[in-house]
Amino acid sequence: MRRTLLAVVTVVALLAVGAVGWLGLLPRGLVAVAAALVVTLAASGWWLVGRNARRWGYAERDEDLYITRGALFRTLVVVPYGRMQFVDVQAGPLDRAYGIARIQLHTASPGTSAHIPGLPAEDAARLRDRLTSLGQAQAAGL
Amino acid sequence: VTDGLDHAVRPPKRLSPLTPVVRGGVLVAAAAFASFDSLVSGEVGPFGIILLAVLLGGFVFGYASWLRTRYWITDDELRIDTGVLYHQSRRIRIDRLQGIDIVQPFIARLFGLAELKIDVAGGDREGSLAYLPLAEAHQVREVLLARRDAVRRSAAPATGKPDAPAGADPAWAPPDHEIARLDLPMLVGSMLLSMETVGAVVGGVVVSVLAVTAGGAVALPVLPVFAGFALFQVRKFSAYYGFTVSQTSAGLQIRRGLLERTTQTIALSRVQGVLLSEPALWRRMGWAKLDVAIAGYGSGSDSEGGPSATTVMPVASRALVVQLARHLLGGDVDPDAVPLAPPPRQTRWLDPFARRFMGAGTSEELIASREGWFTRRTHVVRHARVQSLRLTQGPLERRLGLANLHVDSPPGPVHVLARHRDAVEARELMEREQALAESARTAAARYGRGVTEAAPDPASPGADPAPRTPDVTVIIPVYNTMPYLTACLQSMVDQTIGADRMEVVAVDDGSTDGSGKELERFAADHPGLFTVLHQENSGGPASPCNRGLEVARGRYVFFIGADDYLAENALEKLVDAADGWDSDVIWGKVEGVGGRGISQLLFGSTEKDIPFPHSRLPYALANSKMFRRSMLEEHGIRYHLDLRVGSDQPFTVAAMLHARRISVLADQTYYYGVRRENATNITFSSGWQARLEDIGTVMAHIAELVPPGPDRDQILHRHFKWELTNRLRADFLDLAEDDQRALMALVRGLAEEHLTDGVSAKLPVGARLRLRLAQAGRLEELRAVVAAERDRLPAPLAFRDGRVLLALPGYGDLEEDWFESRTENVVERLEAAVVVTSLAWRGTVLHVEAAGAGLHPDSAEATSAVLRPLPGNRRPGGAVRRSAKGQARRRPVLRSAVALSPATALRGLGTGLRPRDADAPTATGRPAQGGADLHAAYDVGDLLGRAPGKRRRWSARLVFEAGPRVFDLPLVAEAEVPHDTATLVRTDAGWYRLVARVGQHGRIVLVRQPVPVEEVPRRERLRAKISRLGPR
Repeated sequence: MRRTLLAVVTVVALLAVGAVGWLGLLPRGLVAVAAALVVTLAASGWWLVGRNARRWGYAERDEDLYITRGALFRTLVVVPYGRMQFVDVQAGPLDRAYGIARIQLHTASPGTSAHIPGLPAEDAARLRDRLTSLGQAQAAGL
Repeated sequence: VTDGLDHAVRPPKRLSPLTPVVRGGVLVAAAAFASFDSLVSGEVGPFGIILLAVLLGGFVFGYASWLRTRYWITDDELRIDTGVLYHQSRRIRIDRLQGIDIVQPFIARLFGLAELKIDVAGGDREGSLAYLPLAEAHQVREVLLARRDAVRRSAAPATGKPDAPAGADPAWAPPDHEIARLDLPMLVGSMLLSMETVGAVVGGVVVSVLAVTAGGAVALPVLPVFAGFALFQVRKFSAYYGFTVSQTSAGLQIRRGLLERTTQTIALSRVQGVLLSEPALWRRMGWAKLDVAIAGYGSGSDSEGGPSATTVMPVASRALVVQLARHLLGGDVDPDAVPLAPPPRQTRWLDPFARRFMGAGTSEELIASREGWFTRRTHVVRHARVQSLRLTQGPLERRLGLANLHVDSPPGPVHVLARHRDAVEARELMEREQALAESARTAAARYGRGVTEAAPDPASPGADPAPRTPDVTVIIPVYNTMPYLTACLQSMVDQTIGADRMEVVAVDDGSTDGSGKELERFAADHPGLFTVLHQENSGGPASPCNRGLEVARGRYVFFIGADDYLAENALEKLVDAADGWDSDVIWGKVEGVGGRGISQLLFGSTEKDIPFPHSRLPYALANSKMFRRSMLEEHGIRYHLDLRVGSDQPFTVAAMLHARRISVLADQTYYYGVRRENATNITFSSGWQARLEDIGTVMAHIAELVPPGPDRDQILHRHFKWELTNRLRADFLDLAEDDQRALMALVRGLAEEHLTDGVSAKLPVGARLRLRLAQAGRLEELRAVVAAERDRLPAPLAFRDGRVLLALPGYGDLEEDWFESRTENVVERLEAAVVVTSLAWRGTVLHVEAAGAGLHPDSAEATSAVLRPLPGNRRPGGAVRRSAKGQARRRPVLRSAVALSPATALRGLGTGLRPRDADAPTATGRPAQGGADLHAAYDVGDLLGRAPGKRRRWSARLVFEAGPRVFDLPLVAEAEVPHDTATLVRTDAGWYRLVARVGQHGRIVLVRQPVPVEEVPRRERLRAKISRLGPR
């Protein structure tokens, strides 16, 4: 999905660069460099997004949920079910087009930042239901 | 109780008359400034006119508002009336007061006034009295607090709460006391030793040097910076001035401020963690600052120049700060005792300087981290407060084999972060912390009850303030109970146990009168307290109750009818008592409201342990009680869905059978049972047929639970005595004969099934007779018995064959067993059974005629007349003679038979007595029917020879014998029977006067008084001589 976004952004950027070149606002050489830059960025972005997406993972354990993410900056979050206050499932238009959803866990702390993007929609719903029921069973609040 | 109570303020009091001035003070100043020029110049421009008008209006309004603002302090509430256009009367229950703060804004201070801010438990409502003279404000505060303590103390259960965890009872919170105070020189010193000051001094020196060398103009643009700095310091000083921390029942109270006094209370239950800050310059002095993270406060910071709401101590000696920190963390944990390990060597590439100060570690209770090379900050959080854990690692850190462990807390200044630990070690630390946090959480959920608002007790072992599963779940099955539902729900909101220790599960059983909307309204207004479930109508409370049990989370569940309500402290006291006594079933006194009759027989006294079923408990099978949920779950106790009414009975029976302990609290009313005017309440509206069928089902379900025998008899006798017999009362006669037969058939079925001899023996005669008649299908006799009861015909007692029988209609014809009295109070009936109508002496014999309306002629053989000597045979000097053989003297000295004959309507033709009016009612208020006329003769002739020459007294008594039961009662006369019916007799020992006297309580006393022969009239002496001559 992010690759789609990346592709759109790249195309728009290329169009912009092209428009600038066509209008002759900047020297040709500069336009060429800019276009090359955009293409390079897009390519590396393409790779990075893939690398990043592969690093996402989660594990449902008895008492808590593990979420791991990040390729360059790696993070492992442990959220005890008892601490969850609510669970969001979000799906934007693009998400829906791909049939995926993003699940977000909220605890009393904003620092928790526990979310899992790109889950198949039914997995997300199932996980949400499971998390809420576990959360209720083990609720400890603040 | 302090003096304040005695000087209680009763009549309405007003606020200080200066209030409008203080309130309008800002306005005055603004107006004065704005229009100063125009006033001086004598011109009043349009702006000035508007301002003046506003000012005038403001004052008028202010004065009116002052006039309408009044307050009262009564025994249990503080009432504040306010409002000019919209009148508002706020009543605050004194026992719910949490804290009373005195705040003095600057202008108010100029006038010596103060505002009284009143915090109430629950926090959603609070009151304010602005402004009062400072002295009065203090006095009112004292009065309110003293009264609150008094009210709470008197409301505390007399039974005590032995095993409740320490600190569980807010009623016994210690009075406020100051535990720390900011040292003024230290505040000044700390401000001088701050980075800001150093920066300002350095900057000042630089600027001065520049100004001197390059001319004064250089300094000009810098001046505002210095002004800002000065302002910042002044604000800080004024905010922290007079900073005190005191312990109150609601938590730690902080008061501070020079110009504006602020009071703030920190509930210890909301403390998430603490932060100790030690700037470099302070460390030498051994000073530190303490901040606290409180759920909901957010991150306060000093950046705005003002003080932060999270600061608990701006500066103090480190020892004091650590002590405060321990207090905030829950008492027994020492933040300094957490071993902090430094990060590994490779950290030097990332933190060359700071590495020396960095550290992180865990102790049994805490996790802590420290960092900061200039200002050293130590973050401390209890394991039980850890929200989530995060392990992060950037590319550089990965290269160095390092990782960071974040401990997430609610927004606030505290953020424990083990920065740059060895990656493996960080992972281990995380796993260790995870386990510690989890066990702390479960421990808090299991034991951490009631710590919320209580002062931390140093002796209480780390009472962890983490909220957890609620103590009690209230289940409300709702079906069309508006408008009563509102009071019910409001009583839930008002519970003193607090929303964090309870939850309400309301199940709307397809209501059609807006009950569902009302539930939603309360749920929306009180998020977290109510869980509302809706379902199709199921026809009875069983299904909604079961549904409620499925979602209940509390350790206890309490069921309440949707039209009833609870006393405010009901749940709190029930939970405390149940915890203290380890009761599985417990309930409190129920009071009827709106004319609903509630039997009070069970609420005579608070009982810790009531046996079931051999007690009165079978008469308390309603489910409006508190049950231990684990017991219900362990035995799978649920409501039977096949019952429209009475489904609570098998439920309660099952719970009581399994309960290890059943208790009842009777010190106050806990539960108000409301009688509804439009009784669509299912209990009343279903017809007798459905009702009887339901009773049958209820009895069948109970029989399934209890094997046949004394236990089952003891439970089921209640249904025969109450539910079934009640169908056979006066309205039975109104039914058509077919219906009477149908009803009788239903009763017969149940009697055949369950009416054992054991049950029968427990029933009063009236109930037993009706049930047995129904069982035997004898409609005529049944009607007669019902009619006799309706007409309140007396049922005479028959003492026969060693038994006490109650001669109801059919006596003598039907089986004698049916009439045997086993539960009636025979003595009470006997006391009213016989009333003397005449007394007469014939020689030495006292003949007594009496109306025995409550006595059956069959009792003749079992009845005897007995004289018993009375103490008080006076000796000279008036002392009462007490024989050492007192008991022996009680023995009857004379016993004679009593004659009973069927009662006649006309009585009392005895010698020397006024004949009674034939129409006069007898003692029972009705013409005698079925009773007996009683004739008793008490012959004192044999007694005259004893103890000659002395005064003697005897009590005339009737003795009734029924096998092992002997009833001995004094003979009682009505007041109109002539007193002192006397006669003179002569014996060998001399003359005596014999008197039958109606003494105390109408008891008949016989007196033998020696008479000197001189005092005997000649005529009597002569008669005596003649009578002695005669027989010889």
